[in-house]
Amino acid sequence: MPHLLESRRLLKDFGGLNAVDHLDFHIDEGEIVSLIGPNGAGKTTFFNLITGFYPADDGKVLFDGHNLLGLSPYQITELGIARTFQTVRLFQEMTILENVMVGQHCRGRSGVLGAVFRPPRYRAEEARIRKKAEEQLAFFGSRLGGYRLDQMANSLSYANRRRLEIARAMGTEAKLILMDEPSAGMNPKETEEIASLIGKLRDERGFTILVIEHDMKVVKGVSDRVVAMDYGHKIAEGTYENVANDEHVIEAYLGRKATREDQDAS
Amino acid sequence: MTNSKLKLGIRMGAYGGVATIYLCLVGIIETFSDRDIITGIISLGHTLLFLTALVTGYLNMQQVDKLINPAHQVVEKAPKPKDTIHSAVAGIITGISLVILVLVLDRFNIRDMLVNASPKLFELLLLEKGVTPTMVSLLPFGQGLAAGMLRLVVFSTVLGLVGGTLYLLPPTRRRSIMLGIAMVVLLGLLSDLMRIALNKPGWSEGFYKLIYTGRGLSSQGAVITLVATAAITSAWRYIPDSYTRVISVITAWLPTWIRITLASLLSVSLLLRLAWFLGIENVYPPILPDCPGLITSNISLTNCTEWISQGLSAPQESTEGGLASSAPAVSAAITLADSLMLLGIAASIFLLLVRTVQMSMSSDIQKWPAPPLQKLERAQRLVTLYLGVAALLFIPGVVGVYPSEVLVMVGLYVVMGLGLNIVVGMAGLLDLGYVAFFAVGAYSMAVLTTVDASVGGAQLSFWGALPLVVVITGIAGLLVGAPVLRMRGDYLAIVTLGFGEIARFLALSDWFKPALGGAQGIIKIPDIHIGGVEFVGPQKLYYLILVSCLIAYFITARLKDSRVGRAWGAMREDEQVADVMGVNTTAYKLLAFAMGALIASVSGAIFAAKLGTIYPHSFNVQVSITALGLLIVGGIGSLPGVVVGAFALVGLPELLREFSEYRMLFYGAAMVIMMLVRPQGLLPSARRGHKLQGNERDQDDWMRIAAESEAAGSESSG
Repeated sequence: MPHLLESRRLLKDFGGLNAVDHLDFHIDEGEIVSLIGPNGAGKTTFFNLITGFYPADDGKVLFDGHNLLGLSPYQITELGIARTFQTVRLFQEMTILENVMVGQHCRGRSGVLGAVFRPPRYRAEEARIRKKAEEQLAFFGSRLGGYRLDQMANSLSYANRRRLEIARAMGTEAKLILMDEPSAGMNPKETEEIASLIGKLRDERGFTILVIEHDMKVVKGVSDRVVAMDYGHKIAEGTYENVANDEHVIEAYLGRKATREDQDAS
Repeated sequence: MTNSKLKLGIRMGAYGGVATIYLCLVGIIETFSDRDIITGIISLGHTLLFLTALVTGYLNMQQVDKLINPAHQVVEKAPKPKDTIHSAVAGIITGISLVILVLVLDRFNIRDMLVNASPKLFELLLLEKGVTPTMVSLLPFGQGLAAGMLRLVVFSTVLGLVGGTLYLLPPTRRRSIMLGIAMVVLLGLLSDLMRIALNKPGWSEGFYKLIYTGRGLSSQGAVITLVATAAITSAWRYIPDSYTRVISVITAWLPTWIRITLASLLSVSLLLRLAWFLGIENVYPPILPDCPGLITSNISLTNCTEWISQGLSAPQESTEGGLASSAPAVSAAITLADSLMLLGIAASIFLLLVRTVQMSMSSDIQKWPAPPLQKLERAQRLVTLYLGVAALLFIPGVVGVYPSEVLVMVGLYVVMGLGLNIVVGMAGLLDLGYVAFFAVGAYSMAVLTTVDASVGGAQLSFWGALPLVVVITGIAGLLVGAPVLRMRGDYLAIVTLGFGEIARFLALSDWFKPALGGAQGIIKIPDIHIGGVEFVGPQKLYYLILVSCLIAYFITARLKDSRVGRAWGAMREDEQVADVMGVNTTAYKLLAFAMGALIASVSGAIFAAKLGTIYPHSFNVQVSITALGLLIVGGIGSLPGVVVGAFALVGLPELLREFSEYRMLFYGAAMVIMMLVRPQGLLPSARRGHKLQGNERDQDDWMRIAAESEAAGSESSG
């Protein structure tokens, strides 16, 4: 079976610095893969390449039989890849429901005329978008449901903003969700919840998940496979135990983490 | 603490002083002193002068409140009555500043530098001019320089004190007093308009005489206004409720056939009036038939038969031609419909009274069974809509020609504002060259319809040309949108500003002169017809503008709440993320520009047909700024805000001609104050404002429930 997502010798060159250096990577359907590595290793850049934020300089990204390179971000989303951001980036002045409904945008077709005249087709589509969005939010229980549906996204607490970002990504009906440090800034209890949420997303909703994570407990808990990166290279790959004990990985983390703590490639 | 309050008072007083001196030296006080607010009592200039002291005192109290209630403090302390002394201090300082100005004016001739430092201003400041002789004799301290200066200080002090006290009043009372003062000033300002609108034979004349003299608001009128405003504001919260109750009584107790008959009679009378006005005569029929006895509400059967016979023989003079022959019949029909309607209303009221008496005598406990909620809501919506439409249709007839002209201008800007709201408010693309689309609309309409043989040649009718105009301008929108796709924020604003100017220069250029007429513009643009009806003059154009406003409003409202609107919203909030979430931002940007452009084109097209002649100079950057300004004043993204903003920025300056000299000054001041005090606009995007309050309530409920159910909520943190 072909991989769901595969990158071949993917290269991104930031003026002499190869942020992603001929990276070979793959993820299969139904897998949860964690991407780890010290700050500046090129993890987020890798995400940005996959989702079309940056153009790649060389290599290939294949998703579900399509070559993603050269496509616009919205086209890639339409094919079935959604993502969340390391720093939460919601549509602040839109309601929670609307945020997720925007996620459904690429699954709709209606345009200006439909919006103005509202034929039955438009109404049906709008009802479907709404229903789908509510479904995604229902996944998070009362945290994002009920009266909160019509609240502005900026009225949410930090943890709920992160959850809403995930709901929005789910709303695109993606096959693959890329999560960029979903537990960043959360307290231990919330981090635990995120970890179990990631598992549920795969088990109950059938998403394939690629997650960048620094919290090793989360990585250990959720990952089927762990890929470690440093300087744009893949330095180790395998189960959590294998990777955690890999000497390259230990070397990459020790002695460097302290000096680069405050920076990240993104 | 007292020391810092004193310092605050002195500082606020100095601000107030600077503000008043500024108002004096730019000439506003002097210019405005020619206009009476209350006839024979106070002029607009003096009102402004005194209001500054009042506002200074008020703001000072607000600052004191802030001083004794720092943000981190939990329990709020109310400022004490004795704190008003500091407001008085602020007033004194304001007064002293004015005295210094008076002394400078007395000793030195500074007119070479400051042209407005005139002898008249000097006299105005001493309160010796601009007030009537009777008032002068009533003023304390008599005549002369010293007396005048003393008067200034005393008045400012008292006003500062009053301002401070005003702040201490309970909010409802404070609001009614402030609204009362505002109403008096407004009615005083609008006295000319009111004279045109009301002072004509009929029911309105009595009303006019009640509160106005020939020159302006009478002192009796001022008192009535104050009292009435205060009464209405204090009763305000009961009004929506009683409105609902009246409707519920009507729906519950009037048989359906009576309701339907009444509504259709009203519609018939309204439509006949419109037909009369638009097609037959150029004179608007009176709102209620002029019949003796109506004002005294002495409605008897004889009166009604009298009207009917009057109506049947009504218009003695009618214009020649085919349509005119139908005039007497229509006029009679109007009178008949009105009479029947009044009879019907009287009968319904009688019926309701009988029912009330019946109910109060019977032992049935449930006296007024409310109709089902859904039915009631529908009824209320219908009635409100009906009354709203009726009012909108009546306006030009009631207010007369000049105010209708103002309304037409406001309407043109409402349409433009709604279009710009798509670009700026919904899609978040700051467009400072919006006039370009207005110009393209006007020019393409002009070229396509003009009967002047030297340009154009298509000579289409307005309606034939309109679809083409919309398409052409839509394409222009795409052409402007395409090169600026990659720009954002400030850069986009600058480039679009450039495009706006380019449009004007192209129209001016020799290159396009054969097609667009150069600086002379295009003349002989025909009027707008529908069938035999010519839309000439503001009272008729009003209806056309009204319809375009409603259509533009409808379109933008529906777009806002749709897949397209959400995509624009996402783009406005975060363009990159919108892209990643599946929105084709390139396409949606172009769409926003095109939609904004084609709505503006309608406004431009009507503008061209209205004037009959257009010049490049009509399309300067001022138009773009005003359109953007009205969005800001009304609240960016809010549709009712566009209407409010257009009235504030286009309507008011047109009505208050004195202001025209200082229009830009007031625009600037209004913008700065808006940004500081109310950045969300006068009528913020309804949903947002409502939700902000709703949020708090919901949050409170939720906090309470959460606190009850679990002790430690990790949720609420962050």
